[in-house]
Amino acid sequence: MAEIVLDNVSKQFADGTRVLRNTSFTIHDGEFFILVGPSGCGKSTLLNMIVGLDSVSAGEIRVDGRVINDLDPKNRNMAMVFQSYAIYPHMTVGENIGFPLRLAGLSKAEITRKVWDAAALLELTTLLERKPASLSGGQRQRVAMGRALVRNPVAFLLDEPLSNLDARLRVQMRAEIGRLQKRLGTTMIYVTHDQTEAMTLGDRVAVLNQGVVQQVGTPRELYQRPANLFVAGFIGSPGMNFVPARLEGKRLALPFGEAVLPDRLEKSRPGDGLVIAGFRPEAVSSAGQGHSHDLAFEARIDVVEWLGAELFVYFDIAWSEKWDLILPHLSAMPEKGTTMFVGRLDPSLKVSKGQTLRLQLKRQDIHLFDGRTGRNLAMMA
Amino acid sequence: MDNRQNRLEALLWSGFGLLVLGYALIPVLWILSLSLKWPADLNDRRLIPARISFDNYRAVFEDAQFPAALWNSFGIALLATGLSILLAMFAAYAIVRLRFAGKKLVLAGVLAISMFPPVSIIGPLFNLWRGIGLYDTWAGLIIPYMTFTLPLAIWTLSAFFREIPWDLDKAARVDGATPFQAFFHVIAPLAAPGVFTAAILVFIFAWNDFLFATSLTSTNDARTVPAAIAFFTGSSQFEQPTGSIAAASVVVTVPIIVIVLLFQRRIVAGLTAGAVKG
Repeated sequence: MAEIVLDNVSKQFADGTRVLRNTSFTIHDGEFFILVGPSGCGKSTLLNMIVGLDSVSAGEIRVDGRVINDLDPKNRNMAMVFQSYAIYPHMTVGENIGFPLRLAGLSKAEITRKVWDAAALLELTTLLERKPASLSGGQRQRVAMGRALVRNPVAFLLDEPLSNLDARLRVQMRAEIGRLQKRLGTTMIYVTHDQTEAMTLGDRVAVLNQGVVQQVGTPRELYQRPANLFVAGFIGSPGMNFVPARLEGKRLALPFGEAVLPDRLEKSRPGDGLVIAGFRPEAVSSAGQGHSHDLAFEARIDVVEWLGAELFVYFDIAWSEKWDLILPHLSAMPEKGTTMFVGRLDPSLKVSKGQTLRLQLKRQDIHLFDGRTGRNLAMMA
Repeated sequence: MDNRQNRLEALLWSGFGLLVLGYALIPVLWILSLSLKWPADLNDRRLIPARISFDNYRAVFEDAQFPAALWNSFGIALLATGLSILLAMFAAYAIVRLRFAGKKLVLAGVLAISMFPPVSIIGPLFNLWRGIGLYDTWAGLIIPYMTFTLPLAIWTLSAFFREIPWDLDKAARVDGATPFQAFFHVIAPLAAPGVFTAAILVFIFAWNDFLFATSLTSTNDARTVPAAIAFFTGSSQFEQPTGSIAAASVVVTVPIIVIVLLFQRRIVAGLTAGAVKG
């Protein structure tokens, strides 16, 4: 049980590359905390720094108020599950799980009892005598989990634990890890590049990009009030759509029509000028169902993805050249190979490829971002 | 058609195999045959002795020189192997896992030692050993054997260490192991096939060496078998010690064969066990 505080933590390698800069956040006791970001964003390095496998270049890491920057990993009493599982191939499952206890100098009887308890929790009791080579991927994952939870650590650290499993097993283990964490009530730090895992598992999520924390918050906050373009584009699947926009007073001009500024933006009162507008697929619906304030437009459907409970349409919107001309002024605009937009429509709708559809965009669901910094204008007040 | 071609190919391969095997083993067989002959039959030009006698073996072991040399050989080769492997394990682990200044220099230096012709240092070494009292001692042979086998051992072992996922060291550290414990509980057992491979090579080098053994020893205190064989004499001054040399050669070959056969199984077992990861 522990509260872990990162205070201005930075990491710089000997060759000068900075992988993490001025990271500060607090992981509360008993929290399921997620570090999410694209590969190379520094999330695994951060995890390694917390567990002590990587040194801290600057700043402090505190556990329950105690600075642990220079504490040896063996004295931190944290347990880690590696992406590769890192199970010792020459030991049986039982020996693997009992290894931390053996190092801690516990008696044989006590080790046997605790290993049995952990194995029972993870349904591994029939496999205790087996060698890892004869286990399936999911079973190896469980062994790695067992080795972590056998010794009552102050925190669990998991480094992309599900990325080597097939899709079905991943969903199953995801639920299992979530349940396990709630049951044990131990602080858990979980690193992943998969935003679905982040959203479904985390009490709170920290989004990292290029060594900088973009936003820390609950999944709901990240989804509904992304701090910047990166978070907006990273969280959610399919991702948010972005278009150039022009703000004039309370009026918002988009390439495919005009709308009244969303209510929640009125308080922050952003100045006139060029901005980037973002909307999620579910902000789009087929015309004729919503408010009159909503923005209606015509779109030619390119791709249709019907998933039974969901219907995604990918479409193109023709816009005049003057919008292309202002794009260079929006340096923060995420690059897109083709300007394809995604909408999530009512699955009972019959849509076919090539069809032109009349769609509408809920004006309240439009997000506005600064054209240069990419920051969410609603959160700048 | 295909089947016949395959059979022909197999036949060809086994033919070549037998050829090479015969080429390598005929001298060994000849020595074996010599060692079993009566002194009078030594020049009879027969591969299979007409009469078999174990007198040569008896003579070799009755001479005080040979058992002493055998003891020296075993002791020196085993100690040299043990020390060389122990040092090489630490060196190889550091080279593979740690970042330190001059790592490339160390590796290049190690390689340079292995390219150094031993014969070129025999003279200076002889004088040096006499000066500091290592001449004709076990240590006097163990040190050069260790030095000359370390490069091979370090390169072999670092290749094996490199194959072991670094996550395993890290996992052990997080599980509460000191760096030393991580090495002994996790890394060393996994590198066992490499350790055996290196150990066999080092042992064979030390066991077979003639150059150092004959130059740096003078008595039964440290003279090893290859050197001792050269000092065999016939039962009279008119007699060649051919029979005794042959018998001693056979005796000195046996441990090598036993060790290789013994460890070879472990090497193969270790390699296949390591291969099944995924």
